Amino acid sequence: MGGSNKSEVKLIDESGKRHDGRSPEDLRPIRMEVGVLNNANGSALVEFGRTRVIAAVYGPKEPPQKYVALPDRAILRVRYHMAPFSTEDRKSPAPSRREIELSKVIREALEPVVISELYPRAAIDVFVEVLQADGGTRTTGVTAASLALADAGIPMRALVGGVAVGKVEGVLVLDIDEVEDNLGEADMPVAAAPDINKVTLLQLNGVLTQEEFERGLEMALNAIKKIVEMEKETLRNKYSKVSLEEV
Amino acid sequence: MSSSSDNFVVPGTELGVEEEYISGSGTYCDDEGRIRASVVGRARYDSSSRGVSVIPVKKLLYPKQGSNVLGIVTNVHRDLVVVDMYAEVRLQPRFSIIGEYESTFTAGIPLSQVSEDYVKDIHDYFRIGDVIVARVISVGAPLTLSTRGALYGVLYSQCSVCGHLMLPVNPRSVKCTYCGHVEKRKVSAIALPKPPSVKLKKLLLRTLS
Repeated sequence: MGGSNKSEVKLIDESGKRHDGRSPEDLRPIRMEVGVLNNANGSALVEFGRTRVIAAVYGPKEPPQKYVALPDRAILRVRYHMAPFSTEDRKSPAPSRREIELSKVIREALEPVVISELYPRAAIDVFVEVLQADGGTRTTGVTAASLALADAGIPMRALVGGVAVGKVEGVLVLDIDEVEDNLGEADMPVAAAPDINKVTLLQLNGVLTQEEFERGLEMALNAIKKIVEMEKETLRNKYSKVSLEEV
Repeated sequence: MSSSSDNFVVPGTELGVEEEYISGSGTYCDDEGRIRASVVGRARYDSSSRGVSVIPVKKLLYPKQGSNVLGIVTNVHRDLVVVDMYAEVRLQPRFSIIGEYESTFTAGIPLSQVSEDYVKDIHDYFRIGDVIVARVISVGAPLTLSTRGALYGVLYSQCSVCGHLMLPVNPRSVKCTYCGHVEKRKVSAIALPKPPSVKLKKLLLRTLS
């Protein structure tokens, strides 16, 4: 935890490459798939390297507890959960403090794009299930949830994508994994909707100077543009050949 | 970012500006006056009405005013019938199911909307377990249905004596297929002489055969 523990793992080598061979501005290999679940209204599977997250969307529907409904719009209910087998040591399946907080953070990253005013008193459920964790699960979760919402046909202002920027051994690196997160000096997850120029999630754990922050945010936003383009491609591959019935 | 030749769009795709088109279904207008798609689908520009809309690849079914629905009566109060809505249906020219709601919606039929006639006792019109067709007249709170009109009313019922299936015999009564017991109901015109078959994913789990 904290401090550059150079003796154990070399996070940046002499040629500037990271411990997994990436250069500081490289994303991990990303894979996206939509419509992976039969019983959900919308679903998506997203992988950032070894991080693998599945998202499912139900609704809009009548909320099971009427008192949680809002008179002017739909409520978004998000559950972020890590499967017991997603981590190296078994994770208790009970929702932890961290998962409850991340559920809220992911919900707030999606709320600005979902056009909830169209469905007053309804509820939209989003389940984000981490199947395998290797850093950046919340940003991968936001990306998967965005795809799943689009797959469910829920009206959105734009697609959102997320990625984390970190600082390891004084170097700003994009899309940090578990090792870099644990041994690095800072971790800054960002989610944004580039089409409408909105940042919907911004957290920072650790210390960055103002210059580093600005540079890091720019790196993240550029990467998110690429991620959202991939989301669009994924939806196009799945749905552009679907014939449409006239309304 | 711009829409390509096949008009395939995703949420956020720019479709035009407010000055050139009217934002239709599946689109919205952002803070800067740009019309964007809000769902995955194909953009459709209508030059005569200057409108742009998106035809979605997945149609999201949600109760809306004026649609005909299929439901089951879950409770009958003195002045209100409570209904679980299951599907949107088409009644004319033939009965057909447009689509099943992904989850049921609870709605009420107030006494005044049960029939165009004077209703002395609501139980002579609907009872618990009836499979009915109704029209959505308000999507406010609460969701309100109406069964005024000959087309609306009961398709199937459950016998209060033996619990077996009851079928409509005339516009005001249903008869048990097992014990022959006759009860009063408001029967839908489409249920005579024979009610249409209702095959729904969510209804199969329920008692009705």
